[in-house]
Amino acid sequence: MRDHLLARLSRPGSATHLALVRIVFAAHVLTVLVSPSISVIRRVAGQPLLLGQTLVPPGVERWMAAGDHIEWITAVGVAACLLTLVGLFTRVALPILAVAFFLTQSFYYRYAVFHDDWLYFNFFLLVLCCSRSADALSLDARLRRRPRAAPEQYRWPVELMIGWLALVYVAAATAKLFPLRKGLVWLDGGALQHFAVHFYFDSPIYWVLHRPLFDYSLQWPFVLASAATLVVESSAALLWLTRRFDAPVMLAILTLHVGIACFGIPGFVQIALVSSVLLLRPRDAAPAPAPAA
Amino acid sequence: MPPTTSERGHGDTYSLRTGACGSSDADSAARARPWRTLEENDHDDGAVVPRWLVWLRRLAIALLVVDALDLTTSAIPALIDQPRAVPPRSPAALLVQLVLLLPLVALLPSALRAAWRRFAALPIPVVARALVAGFVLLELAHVALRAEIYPFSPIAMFSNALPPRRGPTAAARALRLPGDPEPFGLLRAGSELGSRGFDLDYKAAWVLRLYEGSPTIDPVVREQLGGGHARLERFTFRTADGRIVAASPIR
Repeated sequence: MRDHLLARLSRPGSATHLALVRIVFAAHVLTVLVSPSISVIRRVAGQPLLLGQTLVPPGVERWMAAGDHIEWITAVGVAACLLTLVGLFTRVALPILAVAFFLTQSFYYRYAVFHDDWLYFNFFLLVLCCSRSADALSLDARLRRRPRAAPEQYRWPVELMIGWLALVYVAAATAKLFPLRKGLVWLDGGALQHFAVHFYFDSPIYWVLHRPLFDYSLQWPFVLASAATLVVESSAALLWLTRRFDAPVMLAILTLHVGIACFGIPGFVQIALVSSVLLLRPRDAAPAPAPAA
Repeated sequence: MPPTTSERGHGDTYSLRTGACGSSDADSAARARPWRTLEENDHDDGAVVPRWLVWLRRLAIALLVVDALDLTTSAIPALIDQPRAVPPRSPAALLVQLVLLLPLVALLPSALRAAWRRFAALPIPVVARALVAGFVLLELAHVALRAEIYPFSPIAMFSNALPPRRGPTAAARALRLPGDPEPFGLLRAGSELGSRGFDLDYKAAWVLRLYEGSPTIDPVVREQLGGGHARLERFTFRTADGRIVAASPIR
């Protein structure tokens, strides 16, 4: 039986699973929105770094940076996030949350040029906006008693998000490997060696051992690490082809992020953990609508 | 009349224990059902194609896609290629690669037709389908061209072509806190494990690290750690055992 992404999009899903995804993602996005990073940016950065571009129009960017507009956007986002979390007025709250997240993360990106939550959650929130994620585990479902949709309506959002999760990692592998002339050069480990040295004093390895994990002038460990990184990131493509290897693929991705965190860059471990909720396999696929009497 | 997509899948479940998605009786259901899937229709040409030939065709297409990606990813000069010179592409290689695009271009119309049929049959509401497809296509374009315009990214972190380091020592920047002989990495400040009283998360710590060359971070660091002025220094350490052999102030 075909198990690729396109085939899976049409299969029945679980309203409870989709609702759980909504809750877990909203909880994570809440931690992102209440991060003190925006207020720190306000204090230390006079103007955005010019390394990154954004689709947010310059006028909107200027408006966000003026006065305390970005704080207001964040506050609206937090309120929408709390509503999404409990599932109240979800159909209104989710688009507001998506817009607030999109804008605040654009602001963060322009000043910090850091790639983390926004790579994943702009798409996840867009999909949640378009889906019936509040048909279970929500106040909306309790108060309004909206009839359940066809079971496929609870599956495609989850599968689309899994597809995106895989795309993020396959794209990362593509950026390392292509163009192939650069990819072959990248595989000699120089990039990872620089990373290990550059973040040495930031790394938990240094806090704990007060020394490098191994001699960072050796090249072969970084060659191995580069190859392993490419294999792990490329293996995410399996999520497009089948759901059979969810556990090993996700475990490999988590291990990769734990390794990166040990060498100094935290942040991705929790994103990968939170995204793992997509790969749960609820036994109770949504029941079919009751036949007409 | 074929059933709608919502009518098709009612018997399906997906199991936590077995990990199998879809119904256990899906194959028998497929045999019994009076309609055909789009995939079955796609291959409905009356001929039986050997399995190895199917795989050979897939492999060939994959290689052509690799060729196309190699060309598109080098179409726009990227910062990540700059630190290290990569071997140039010879005109002959470029010509061969461009010629190899032709079969892919020839396959494109039929592939697009098949993709459109599948896309139109998805059980996703039209507006959602258009929004999601637009977002994904734009992301794919950014990946193919290695262009980054928020919220689209080629996810090129740590993809720089950098030369390997040689020699027994290396240098990295860190703060030196008043009265503390040890270097203090700002990302350590943002970690739950090594926070030393910092009330910041890793995202805020990253911002501080990025702007650590600027005196504007001083009030924030002082506020978080107390005490006097933290100095930004460049520490040279032995890569074998981590012993710091030199330190010089940056500002």
